[in-house]
Amino acid sequence: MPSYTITVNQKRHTVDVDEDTPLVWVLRDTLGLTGTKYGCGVGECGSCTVVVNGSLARSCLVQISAANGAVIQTIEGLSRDRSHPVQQAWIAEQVPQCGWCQSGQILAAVDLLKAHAQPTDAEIDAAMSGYLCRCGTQQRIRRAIHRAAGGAGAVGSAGEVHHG
Amino acid sequence: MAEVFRIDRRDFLGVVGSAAGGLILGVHLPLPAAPARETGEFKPNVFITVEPDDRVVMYTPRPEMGQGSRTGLKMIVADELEVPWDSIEIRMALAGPREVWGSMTAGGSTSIRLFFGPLGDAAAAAREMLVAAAAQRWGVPAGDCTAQLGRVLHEGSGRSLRYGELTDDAARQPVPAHPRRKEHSQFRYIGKERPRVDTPEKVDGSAIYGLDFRRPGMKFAVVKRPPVIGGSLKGWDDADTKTVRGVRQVVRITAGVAVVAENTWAALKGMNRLKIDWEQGPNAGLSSAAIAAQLERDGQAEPLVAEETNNARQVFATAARKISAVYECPFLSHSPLEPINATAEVNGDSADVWVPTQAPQGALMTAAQALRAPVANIRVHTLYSGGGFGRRLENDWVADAVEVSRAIGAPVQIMWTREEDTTHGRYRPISRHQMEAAFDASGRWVGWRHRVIAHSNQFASDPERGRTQLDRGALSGAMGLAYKWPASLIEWRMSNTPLNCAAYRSVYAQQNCFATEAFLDEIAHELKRDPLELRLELLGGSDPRQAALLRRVADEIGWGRRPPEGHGLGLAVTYCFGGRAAHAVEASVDRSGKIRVHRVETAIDCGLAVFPDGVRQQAEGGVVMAMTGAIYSQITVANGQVQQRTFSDYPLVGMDEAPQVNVHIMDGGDPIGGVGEPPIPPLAPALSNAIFAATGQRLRRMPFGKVAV
Repeated sequence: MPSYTITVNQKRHTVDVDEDTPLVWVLRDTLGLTGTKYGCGVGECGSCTVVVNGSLARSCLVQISAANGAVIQTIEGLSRDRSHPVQQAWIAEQVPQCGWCQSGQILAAVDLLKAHAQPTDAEIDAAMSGYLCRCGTQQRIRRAIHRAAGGAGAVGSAGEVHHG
Repeated sequence: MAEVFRIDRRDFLGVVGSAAGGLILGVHLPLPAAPARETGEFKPNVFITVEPDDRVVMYTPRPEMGQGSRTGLKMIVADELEVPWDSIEIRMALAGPREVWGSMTAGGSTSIRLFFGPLGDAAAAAREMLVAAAAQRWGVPAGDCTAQLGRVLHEGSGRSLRYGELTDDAARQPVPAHPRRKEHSQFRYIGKERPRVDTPEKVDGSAIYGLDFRRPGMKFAVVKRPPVIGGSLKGWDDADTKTVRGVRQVVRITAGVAVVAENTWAALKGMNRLKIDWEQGPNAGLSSAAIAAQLERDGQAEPLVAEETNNARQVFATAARKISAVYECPFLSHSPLEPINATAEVNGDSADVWVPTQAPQGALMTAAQALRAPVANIRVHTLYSGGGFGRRLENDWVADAVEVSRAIGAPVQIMWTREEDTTHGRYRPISRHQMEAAFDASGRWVGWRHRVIAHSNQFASDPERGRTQLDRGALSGAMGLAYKWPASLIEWRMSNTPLNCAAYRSVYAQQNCFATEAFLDEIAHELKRDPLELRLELLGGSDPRQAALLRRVADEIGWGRRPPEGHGLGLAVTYCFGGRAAHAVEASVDRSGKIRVHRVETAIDCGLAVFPDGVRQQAEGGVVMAMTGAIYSQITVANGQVQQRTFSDYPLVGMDEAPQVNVHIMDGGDPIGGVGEPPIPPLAPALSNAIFAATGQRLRRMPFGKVAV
């Protein structure tokens, strides 16, 4: 029986699952970490995004055999108490509607801000376009990213954002 | 007028299924589906309890799918009960019969506008009973006492009591028939900025949606329905499926077949290895081309007249000149990001069902039918939905879960894959709109004609009636408009298809608004009139509120200015689901033919905006969803099968395309109107009009796709 070890949110787990099991189902079904969402299963929507060894990954496309030994962070591991600046910005801007895509959106925004402490709108477009939101929260995501970057107020609610 | 009742603790337990103490009030909404107290028993739709520890629990019948109404409902109760915001906990009620609960359905943009009156009355009645109890205890007139943030105060003596100290006495007070509501100026929460109640759990992964629900011993199943519309299951070979570790069983269900496993991946893998033999059924040759040809043919057949003013048929018969255009709208998939799912645990002839649904009572009926058991044996627990948009009104998947759980004798969660969701949706109906305008010999515009040819949701299963009766829902946004047409002829011709269709956010209002508001622009162009001025003239005095919205978005977008080279401005307005919305759009087409939306100015008038930020969210999101529909979305059919599968062939507008949307809330007075749906219809025509202004090309067929430049 294949057995794999992964460290998720600083906790080590050994799981006995088939080698081709996508990480999203290991997280959700085996470990009970349901904050990571399934949206399409083919890497198109971004809802299942997690951080694997420091890089964003669509967990529906990562087989457990490729993640053996990996250090993984999910939305549940971002902070204990929603205190991460990006979570705080998401609350301040009241981003979520249905919320299904937001775990992926938040982790993608955290990653963007690591690379670009003060991202431009074009950098936000480039980094976030692959994360689909059916409710249409994009402009609040943009505002929340600017806010988390310390630019709160740079783009007010009635302010105009030029891009594209 | 709503009726407010005091609830006996025993009755309360019977309906809600959990314990509570203190003061319990129910409110009965005067809905047609919920007749008044014929039998003398309590028939409340909502419960408010004030417990001895000061906690307030509100049991709501309305699901939360992202639309934010849970926060708005809490505002109403918190304000009229006059309690601290954090003292109220909202719990979703178990699904109950319509006679008890009225409609529990989150649809038609109704949750706030239907509940503001009765829910506020219930909370205000509770407040008055608490005040009366305190006054009695102190031996002072109730008029000398006031309620403030969970306490009753006696101003003369400075005494005060917590609500929790008064609940037993308050429960013995008579229920006021006409509790006094707050003046708008007294509102503490209503109309004010407040964070949503569900935001915290949606930023840390802790919110439990349908697909996140777990039961001890629960199995995971995926289902497959016949790929050809109207097909059926003949049989299968599961030899390879059974070799997948974790696969437990393959189960025939009414709708198709389910693979049951210990985890989702095993179920998916097992399903992929299942060799299924499908009966194709009568639609194996169906194609989108054939459906379009059918609509075109039906467009030439004799229609039913839905509305005629000023002898319009005669006007058209004698017109000196006419212009005409055909507008077309495709089938759409709702595609909420949380795939369709439900969890069921059947025990003999009873069952518990946990489901993200917009229509808990529909889920109850579906589960009862699937189990062939009375509804009293079923408990439906409604969980958060990861989007709905109308798809989760249908509950067709609930039977899958009940049937599988019964077959395997264990709790099970069924999930549809994204492909299954896209290929087996309940699609927004296809429609064709034949528009015509008549002019007299002097060039004066004298007639408006709109013939709607569409798949009928109302008569899909009863086409005989549909041939002689109007589907009034399908004419929403086409007939009964505020515009004073010179003469108008609105016609209807049903053109049903084998596809399963149902309501999609704003239902038919968007297709009809698209045709109406874009063709009106064509007429303005023909008359060399300003499209805004022409609209204002047609509205005349008949709906000043729509006129005000148009003026506002025109001001905000800078109507009349010369936009940058290659950009164009367009606008449109709607009244639907009790609410009004207008958009002004600035758009252009880039060198590759791609449509760019630079800015959208939105004005919405829903009367009193109970939860203003919720209104803004719905308008902002509605713009993006409607943009996706206008530019990208279509469900097509070949060989009887839906061709789209995932988001690569059913794309959504992304971050790089989503425009800045500036929302302006304008309170034009009572009554409170709908919010979720009105922002959808005017977007596509405003965009089409803007692209015409920018390029001279008239986009009459959705999706617009790329524009030839």
